[in-house]
Order: sequence, then structure tokens, then C-alpha cells
Amino acid sequence: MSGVAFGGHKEKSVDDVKWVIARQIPHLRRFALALAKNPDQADDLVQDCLERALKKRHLWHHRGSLRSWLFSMLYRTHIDHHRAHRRRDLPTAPEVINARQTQPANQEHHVECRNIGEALDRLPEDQRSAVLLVALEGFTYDEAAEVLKVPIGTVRSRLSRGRQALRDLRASAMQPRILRRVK
Amino acid sequence: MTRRPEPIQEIDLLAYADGLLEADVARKAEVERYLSEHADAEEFVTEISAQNDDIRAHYGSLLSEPVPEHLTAVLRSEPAQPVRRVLSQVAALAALLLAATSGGWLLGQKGQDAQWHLSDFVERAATFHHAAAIGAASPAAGGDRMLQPLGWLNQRIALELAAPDLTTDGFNLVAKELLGPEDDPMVRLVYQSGDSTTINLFLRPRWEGAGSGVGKADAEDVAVRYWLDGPLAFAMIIDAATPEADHLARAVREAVGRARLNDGVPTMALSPVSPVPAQQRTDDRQKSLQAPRAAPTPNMQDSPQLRLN
Repeated sequence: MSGVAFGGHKEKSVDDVKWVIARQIPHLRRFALALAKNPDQADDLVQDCLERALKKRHLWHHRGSLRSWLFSMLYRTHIDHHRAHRRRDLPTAPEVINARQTQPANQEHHVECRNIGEALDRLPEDQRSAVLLVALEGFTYDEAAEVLKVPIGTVRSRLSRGRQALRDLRASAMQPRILRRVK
Repeated sequence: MTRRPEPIQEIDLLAYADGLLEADVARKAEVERYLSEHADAEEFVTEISAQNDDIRAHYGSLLSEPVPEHLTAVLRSEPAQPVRRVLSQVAALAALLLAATSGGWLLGQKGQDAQWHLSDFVERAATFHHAAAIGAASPAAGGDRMLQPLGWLNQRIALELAAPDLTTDGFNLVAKELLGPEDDPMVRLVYQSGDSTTINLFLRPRWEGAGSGVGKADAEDVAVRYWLDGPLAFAMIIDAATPEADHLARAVREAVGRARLNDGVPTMALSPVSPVPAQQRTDDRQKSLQAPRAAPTPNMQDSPQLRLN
């Protein structure tokens, strides 16, 4: 097989990094929206993250997962934005998610979605981030620890507390519906 | 001799529910054996799995959305485009300012000429801010004034005004420069916080009109505050939505006030065409240092230009 089409090794390496980054943009946007709870701020977050990643890609050194590195950068950027704006935690506006649903869901499932979204919004930031990384983005616990820059034990603790809080919130949210069905 | 299995812990159950034991067949089998014997653990795992399903369903459709062009453009290393919302909001600010100034309420200015001066100043400040935000070079005033922008300003206003200290609010002074045409320049002081929030503070001498209060123009991620204080006009532009814009404007005004009290007051009328000679200022300052500190002169204290809200 000829290597002519691939160009020089160095250039190819840089393009490969960009290619991997490009594949992660939808996931970064999704995580950013879950963190920022606002589509415009989420895209600003992702743009800042991508710019930082390109500027600092020499710091990656192929150690660890590029995906973890990107998500870590996004998370750091979110923390920076959060401090800069010093805004109060606001729940994700239901229309933010609803407007982005491309497939109509049945009513029962729609209510379930609303509940989990609202429950997630009520979690403390550190627990929410840990749960989202694992449950939504499929990170392993050691990868999540790398993204959040905390020990694995801390991730485990945040997950445990976050999961339990979600169970409690879910149970309380389901209670009225169960009672309605009993009637 | 066979190895005793490690006891099943919560993290095993979480990992099982999160699908992280697929590659660890032995541990997965131990967890499944445990689940078959413990109904409460089985219920826990079922709930965690349901949480995961709900979370993925909640955000799942976002993955299929087309990626906005400005995000993919970043990877193509294209020249920075003014795609940030903050930049489009500067345009919105310009419209706000235009509406404000054409409405005639700007700081209660007296007379058409004075009104034009302040609105022009704030609009020019917004333009310089915009140029800095997109990385474009701003027209710098030439000559020696480039070196000492505050020195030039102090010469014009006959005060020893230092850059306001905003460190207690988390902002450090990172740049100062003189911008604009030779015959009507302004000073820009740039402050940044640890999280890269930037304050552009523009100052220019002013000689016309009286004013009170702080004018405001806000867009989502840009806040502008502008006011007159003694011989200076100020425009403060923050490139982030911040509920603290009013607080920061107040901090700047207080810092300027402290500087004035510390350094005495001008003893002569201000004129745009007759800056105080450097030697005279030095002499005045020497006298001020030698004499006991006196209260500010009545004419300065009583000046309506200093009675700002």
C-alpha cells in the first residue's frame, strides 16, 4: 500500500489528533449542556475547550486517553466560567431539552425524562459531574477520576452519594403517580 | 488451593450496573451469584441501571444534532472569527448606547455638544473593546504618550491619578495604553481576574457639562458602566455577564476618590489645550508635601462635577 496519500508523519499526527477531537465534539456538547444547563453557554464552553485543547495539545504527550483529556479540559473550563459568571445554579429549562428532542417520546417516558433531568439538576455539582461522566458518557471510574482530577475513591464516594440521591428523588417523584394509579 | 473471593461491595454493584465488569468475567460472575442471593442488591442494581437508561434517554438525542460551524472551524485553525456571543453582544451594546444617547438621558448632560462628547466617548470605548476581543490592533496614539498613558492623563487633569487598585475584587492590572487619535486620545486600563474575566476601563479628560449617576448598558455577556467624575469621563466594559458590574464600578469610583484625596486637588482650571506644565505640577506637589495636609479646597468639594451618585 502506498503511503503517498498520507503526507508527512508529523502533519499526519496533528491531523489525527484533530480527527479524534472532532469525533468528540457531539459528546463534549452534550456534557457541556448537562453542566451549563444553557445551550448558548454550552457551545461557548465547547468552543473555549477546543481552543484550549489546540493550544495545549503539546501538553497531552499521548499519556492517557485523549478523550479524558478533552473532557477534563471542558470540565475545567466550566469551572472557570462558573466562577466568572458567579451565577446561581438554575435548573435546566425544560424547553432546552424539549426543543432538542428530535423524536417525540410517549408521554410516560417524557415524564420519566423530566424527572431524571430535574433530579440531576438538584445534585451538588461534584456528584452530578461524576454521575454524568459515568452514566451518560460511559467513562470508567479511573477515567472519571482523571477528568475530575480527584482520586478514584473520591469518584466512588461521589457516585455513591449521587446515585443514592437520585434514587431518593426518583422515589419521591414517582410516589404521586403510584398513588394516582392506585386510585 | 483456591482463592477466597473478595467480598462484594457497593462499588462492585455500581460497576456491574454501569457495565464496567464486562471484561472481568470472573468478578462479574461473582457479582451475579451475589445478586441471585440478595434481593436488596438486585433491586439496587436494577435501579442504577434504570437511572442510566433515563439519563441516556434524557440527553441522548443531542448526539445526533449537527455540530455548529463555528465549532468545527476551530479545528480547521481558521482565523479567529467573531463568533463568540460576547462579540455579537458588543454590536447589541452599540445599539443600546445609541438608543440611550439619542434619548438624551445620558447622565443628564447639559447641552447638545456635551451630550455628543460623552456618547461618542462610550461608543469609541466599545469599539476599542470590540477590537481587543477579536484580537485586532487598536489605533494607538503616537509619540511619547505611549510610554506613560497615565502620566499623560495626569498632566491633562492636573492630578496624580494612579490606576485604580481592584485586587481586593480579584482583578489585577495587566495593561495600560493610550488609544485613539492624537487630538482626542483616551487611556485604557486592562484588568484580568484569575478566571480570565477582563475589565476594560477607559478614561478621558472632559471639560464640558455636568453629570451625575452611572449610566448602564447590559447585554447577556457584556456589561458597560459609564460616568463622569470630576475632570474625567469613565467607561467600564466587562466581557462577562456579572451581577457585580455595579459593585466593580463603585470600587473604581472609590479607588479614584481615594487617589484624589491622597494626592491633593488641582489648583487651576482644566483646559484641553493648556495642560499643566510638568515643572509647575512638581512644584505644586512639593508644596503640598511640605504643608500640613489640608482638607480639599471648597471649590473642588462643592463642584457639582464631583457630586456623583
